[in-house]
Amino acid sequence: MMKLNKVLLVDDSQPSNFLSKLTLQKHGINCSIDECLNGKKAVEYLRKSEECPGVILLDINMPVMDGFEFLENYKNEAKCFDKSKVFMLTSSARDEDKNKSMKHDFVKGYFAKPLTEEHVEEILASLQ
Amino acid sequence: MKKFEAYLAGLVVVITALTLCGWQFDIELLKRPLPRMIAMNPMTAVSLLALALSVLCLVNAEGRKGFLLATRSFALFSIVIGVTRLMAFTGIHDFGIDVLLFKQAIDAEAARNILNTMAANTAFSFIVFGIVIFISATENGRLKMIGNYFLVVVFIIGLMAIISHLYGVRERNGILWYLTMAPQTGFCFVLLALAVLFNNRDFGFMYNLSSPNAGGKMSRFLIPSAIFIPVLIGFIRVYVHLKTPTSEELGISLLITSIIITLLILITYVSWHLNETDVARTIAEEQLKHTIEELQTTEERLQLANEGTAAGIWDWMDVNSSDRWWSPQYFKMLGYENNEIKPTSQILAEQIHPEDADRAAHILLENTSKSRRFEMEVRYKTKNGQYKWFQVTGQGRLDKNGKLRRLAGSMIDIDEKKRALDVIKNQAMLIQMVPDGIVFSTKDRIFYDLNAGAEKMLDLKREEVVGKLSDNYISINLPRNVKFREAEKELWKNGFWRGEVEITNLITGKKVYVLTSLKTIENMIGDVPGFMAIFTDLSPLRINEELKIALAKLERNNEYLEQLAYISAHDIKAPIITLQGLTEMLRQQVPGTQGYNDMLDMLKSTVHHMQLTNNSLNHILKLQRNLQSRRELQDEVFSFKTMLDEVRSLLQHNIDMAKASVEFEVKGFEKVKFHYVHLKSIVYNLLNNAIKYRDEAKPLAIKITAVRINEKSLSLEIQDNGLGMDLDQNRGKLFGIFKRFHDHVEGSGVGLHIIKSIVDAYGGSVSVKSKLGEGTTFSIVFESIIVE
Repeated sequence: MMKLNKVLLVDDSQPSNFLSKLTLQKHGINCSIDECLNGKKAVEYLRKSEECPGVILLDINMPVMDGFEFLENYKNEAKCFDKSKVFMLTSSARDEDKNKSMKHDFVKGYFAKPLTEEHVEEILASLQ
Repeated sequence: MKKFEAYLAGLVVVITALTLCGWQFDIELLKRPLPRMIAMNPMTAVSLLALALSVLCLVNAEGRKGFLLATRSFALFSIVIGVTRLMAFTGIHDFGIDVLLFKQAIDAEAARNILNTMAANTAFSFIVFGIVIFISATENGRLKMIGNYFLVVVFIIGLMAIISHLYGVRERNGILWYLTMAPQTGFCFVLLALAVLFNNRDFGFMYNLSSPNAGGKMSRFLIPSAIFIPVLIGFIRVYVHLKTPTSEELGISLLITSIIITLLILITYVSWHLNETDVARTIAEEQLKHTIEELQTTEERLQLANEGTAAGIWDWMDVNSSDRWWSPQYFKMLGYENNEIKPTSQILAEQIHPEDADRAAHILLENTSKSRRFEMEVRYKTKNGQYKWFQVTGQGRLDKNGKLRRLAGSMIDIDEKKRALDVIKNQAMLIQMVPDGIVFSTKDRIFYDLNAGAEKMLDLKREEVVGKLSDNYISINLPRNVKFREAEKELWKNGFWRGEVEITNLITGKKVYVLTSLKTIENMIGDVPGFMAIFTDLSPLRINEELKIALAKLERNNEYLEQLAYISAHDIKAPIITLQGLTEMLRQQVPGTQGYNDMLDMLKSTVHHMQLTNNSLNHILKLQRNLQSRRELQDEVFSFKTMLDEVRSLLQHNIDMAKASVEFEVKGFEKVKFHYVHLKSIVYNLLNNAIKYRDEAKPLAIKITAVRINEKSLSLEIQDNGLGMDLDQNRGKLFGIFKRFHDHVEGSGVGLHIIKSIVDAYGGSVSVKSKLGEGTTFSIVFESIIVE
């Protein structure tokens, strides 16, 4: 099992990020968890950080740069591209949104909020 | 002629009766009118009387049985007398028949050596004559012909008796003893023979003599001459000899010379007469020939005319016969060679179309019985079996009793004409049936005709408007950029014009919007030019167009609402989920601890966010409702500058906080007519955004410029020197709901959406120029604003 170094939460809702962080920790993720309030900030985070996060939990609806735009930009991030496993975490249950996300190979899962134990297990399973 | 024959016979009756009187009363003059003349035997007189009566009966019989019986009885009597007397001559037995009457007187005269017995030739004549009468009473022409020759014999016997007496022949010796017929008797026989010959003039040589032709005429002239002239000359010879006795030879010489001279004169006369007749006949023949030639020419001319004319001639010469006559053209019209078939009533009955037969018979009956000219159109089957239309005319000729005798007339082929007419009829029907309006008008715009479609479309009544000036009934409004005169000029130049026009019925006020196609007609009525107008009603299309627009609008609204519902769902769902999670967590925390307080803050923040979202949504929904049900009545006239001032005062606090300079410029106008709240909302949001997304690094300068474009449009520009946006990435969602480009200040993400919604609703456009770090310029063009 690969050691999970870091998780990045990308969501403009701080309460939502707070809840996600609690759920991850509760189900055995002990590494550091960072958060960005929109896609643009996440891109900047990736460029600045020395170590790319093993998992990114991404919301879709965000100001400035939304989740889809982030995915497009992420592909161009030479340093971190393909080093993080991306999971969508959104309140949108639309198939349209799910398909649009899952067409990217590096998107490994599409979770409807809130984050649950099953979601965490799936994240962990993807690391093996 | 019958009378003539009866007179001859009647004369005989008179002579015989007088003779018998003479015997009865012993009157010498009646017995022998001239002295030394042989007297007629009384029995001869009786027999002649019987024969005369017999002839009278024969002449007047005319097929009546009683008369014929009397004829035969009288004839039989004379034969019996003749036979009885001949028996005496031949020595068989002498019944003394000739002395049965007035025996004493006869015997007394015989004593004086005066012969009064019935002569043998008389008896013979009685027998022959009786037989001829028997024959004449039959219907056998051949026997009558032979009978006529016997009558000639009797005639000559009678004539001989007369001549003998005339010349005073005295010889009684030898055979002559037997031939002592009295001249009166001979005369009677001559008369009776003539009577019967005339009666039988239709038979044998008598037919020839009685002919009206030259031969008949000639013989009727020559025969009496041939009899009387020699007799007369002979008499003269005998008389002269008595007075001055000459030698026999000289007498005969003179006699023969006289006869020759007479005959020569006769022949010369006859030949002259014949020649005259012949010349006349030749001339007549010439004339006849000429006439025939003329007739032939006329007939040829008629034939030529027949062949030349398109009409066939027919003739039903005798309506009681089934035979007809057709001219060559008539045959040709039915596809036959001349006289290929024999025209009869039966052929005609076969040729006529079954549907036309009754009608044709009716027309014929109706008119021909009154000798009126008739005319009818019927179909006849041609040789190849196809029916063709013909126009048949004719007239009947009546006989003396007013009955139809003959029918004749002509026939012409009207098939093509009829078919052409059918086509015209169909087209006329088509014109009536099409839903499009079709109007025929003269060049001077006088209604000539219009179809049902035009009546309905233009709300006109055909019978009321035809012949009237159309300008009094309808007015035509051409498209805005087309002038009436130009359209008219184009029509008469090109013969065609098409365009969409609005036609107003000036009486009822009904308006129609129609596609009009005009086509000129060179000779519409005689040589009067006109044009045809076809109107296609575009009103339904227009309604359709409007429906389409409304539908599109509805679809856009639906789409918008769907999007709004989705966005609302998401933006409300997301915080609810968070709230659920937070409350769950909160239960596990001990009140008063740091974690508990943090969670409470989170809860508050989430609820606040929800309230903002809710407010924004309410705002948008209200605006949309407002925009959709907007009425022009809500528009009001206000000063643009005043409105700007009011917005500035509303945001004065923010302006002061940002230390911004706000500059207004209104060019070329003062007041506008528009929805005050909506215009204010646009300016408010733009100004607010400019303040919010300012660049803290430099002093904020905002410039609002309004410029009049024309009486119905103006442009509004708001320029700032703020943060700017990366439009390459975000142009598509600039005006979306809850889209935000900066998250360092609180915003609802609906401002630009509101602006765009309002501008779209009123008709206009929003454009934006922006550059990160340099600033943003929003430009709005209002297209339906009244600028004063």
